[in-house]
Amino acid sequence: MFWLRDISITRKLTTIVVATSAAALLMAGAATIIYERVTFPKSLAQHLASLADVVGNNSAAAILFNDETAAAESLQALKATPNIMMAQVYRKDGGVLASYVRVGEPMATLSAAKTGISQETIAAEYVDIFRPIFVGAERVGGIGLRSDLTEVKVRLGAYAQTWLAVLFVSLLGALGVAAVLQRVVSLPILNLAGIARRISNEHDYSQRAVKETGDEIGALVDGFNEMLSQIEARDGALTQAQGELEKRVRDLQQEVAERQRAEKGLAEKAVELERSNAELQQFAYVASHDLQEPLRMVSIYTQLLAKRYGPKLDGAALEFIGYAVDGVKRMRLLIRDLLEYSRVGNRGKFLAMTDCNAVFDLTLNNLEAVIEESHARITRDPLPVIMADDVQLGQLFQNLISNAIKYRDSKPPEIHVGCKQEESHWLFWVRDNGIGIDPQYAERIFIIFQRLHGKGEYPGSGIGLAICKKIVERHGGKIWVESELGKGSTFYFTLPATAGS
Amino acid sequence: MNTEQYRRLRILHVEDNIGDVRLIAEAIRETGRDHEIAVAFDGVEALDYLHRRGHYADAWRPELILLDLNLPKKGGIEVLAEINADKELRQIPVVVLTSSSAPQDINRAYALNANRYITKPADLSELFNVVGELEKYWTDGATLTPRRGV
Repeated sequence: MFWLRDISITRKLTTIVVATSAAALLMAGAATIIYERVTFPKSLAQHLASLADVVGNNSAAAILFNDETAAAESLQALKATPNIMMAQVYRKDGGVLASYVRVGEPMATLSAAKTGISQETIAAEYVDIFRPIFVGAERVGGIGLRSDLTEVKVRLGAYAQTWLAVLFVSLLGALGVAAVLQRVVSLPILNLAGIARRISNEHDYSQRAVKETGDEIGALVDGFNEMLSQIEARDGALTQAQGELEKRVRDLQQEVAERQRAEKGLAEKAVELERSNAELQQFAYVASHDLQEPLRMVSIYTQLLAKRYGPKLDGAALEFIGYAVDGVKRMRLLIRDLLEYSRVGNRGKFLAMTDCNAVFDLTLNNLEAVIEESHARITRDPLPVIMADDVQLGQLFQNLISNAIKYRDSKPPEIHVGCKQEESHWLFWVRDNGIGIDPQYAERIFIIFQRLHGKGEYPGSGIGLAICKKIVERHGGKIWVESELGKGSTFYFTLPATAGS
Repeated sequence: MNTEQYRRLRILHVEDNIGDVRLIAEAIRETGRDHEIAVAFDGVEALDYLHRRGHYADAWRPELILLDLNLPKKGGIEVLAEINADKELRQIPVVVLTSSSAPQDINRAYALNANRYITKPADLSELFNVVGELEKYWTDGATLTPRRGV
């Protein structure tokens, strides 16, 4: 029955109807044939009995006169009935008077002949009949017939053929009727299935199935429509929720994009800043370098003017020339310092292992003249070996030491350079006994061209400490000063320590 | 004024700044001597002069070249390279007189057998000293500084 499951409901219904009809017809046919099979041999036996009585009466005289020939002739009449297999006429005592045998059949004596009582025996392949023969009321002998069942078989075959034809025609009729009638059931179901498919394809849950019948299918349509209403309501809610979710996702994406834009903007600004810094340094270098050329012209021609025409000019003219010469000198100094300052970032060497002791001692050699002139006494702790640009490190020491000598008071300068390791860096200090710095200016002195004293008191452009700061920062350190007016100053700076130093 | 006998030098001054040209002239004047100075204002003109090309066909052969490095058209280093590559021109002593103090310029100039490399002084007396020294060297000295290389 499994094959029934997957075929269409139309075929299912048709098949059921046709199969039902076929089953009914089969059972009716089978009943008829069985009935015929059972009853026909009996009617055949009755017919044979009549035949036997007729032939027996014809043979009665032959029995009385014991005339075998006449009895045999009477039996010969049975030739006209081809299904008679064998016949015998018996005397009163049961002895055989005459026999008839259809060609090719064996001879047999019926057992009833001795009793003389009428008897019929229905076997599988034949029917035997024994009838006594009477003359008046006296029994004179008997007759026995054996008939085959050919007639029964022929008749049953005809029955079967007829029945098969009826079955075929009936089934065709049933098929036609079923094909029409099954629609009553299948059409509403197919309609329902069609709507269900359309809804699932179009996702339009507002469609409804039309209820056409008041039966279970109608109830199914109602249930289906009710289910659709619920789905429609849920779908609406789901769509709304999905819309909200999508909006939140969009908001989030927008937020992320904005954040990324902001980060990108920051990164771009950092790159831009680095670039503009590098450009500024390049600009400072080029500008100060190129500025020197016209300045040299001004300077040298002013000097030539003074030299060649000095004697012909009055005091005021010479004074004016003096200011011009002085201005040009200061300008040259400033430009030279600016150039030097820009070089710290622009022209620095790579950092390499540097022995601070050697650098420091070289610095003292450079400052020999100033040290001698000022009678300065300079001492130092043992200094470490660190990663540094040795030229810039020398410049750092030189600027700090020469400052310490320059800003001295009446007593000879005493300068000590100290050093100790602190965690990841070395702390250096340069301590002097000079004029000191008002703490409020402690930060200002590191700004380029910032000076605390008039040019008459202490010469210089105010670049030295700015360069020191730039050098220390380039090395990844910090620089600061601790001081009080009249009590000397201590300049501190840090430089990163390297492993193993 | 100095009245002693001296050898008059023929000098080619290659310099695009007229102020510098005049300064050198003034500095030489300051020495009290009078030398002949021809001026080329760019590298191409300097080489035309040295090779006596175009309207420099009749130009005299200088005995000293003062050469600026920062020149229009053709830089001083290129001029120096061409002089150095010519076996006649290379006999003429060359003094590089420039505002550049960049080590690579100094190295390149000496590599091309410049006789001296002088950074233009910004101080008048320093300038006079330098030019005076030069003048004295090339006029009074019996021989020129031998050129390096061939």
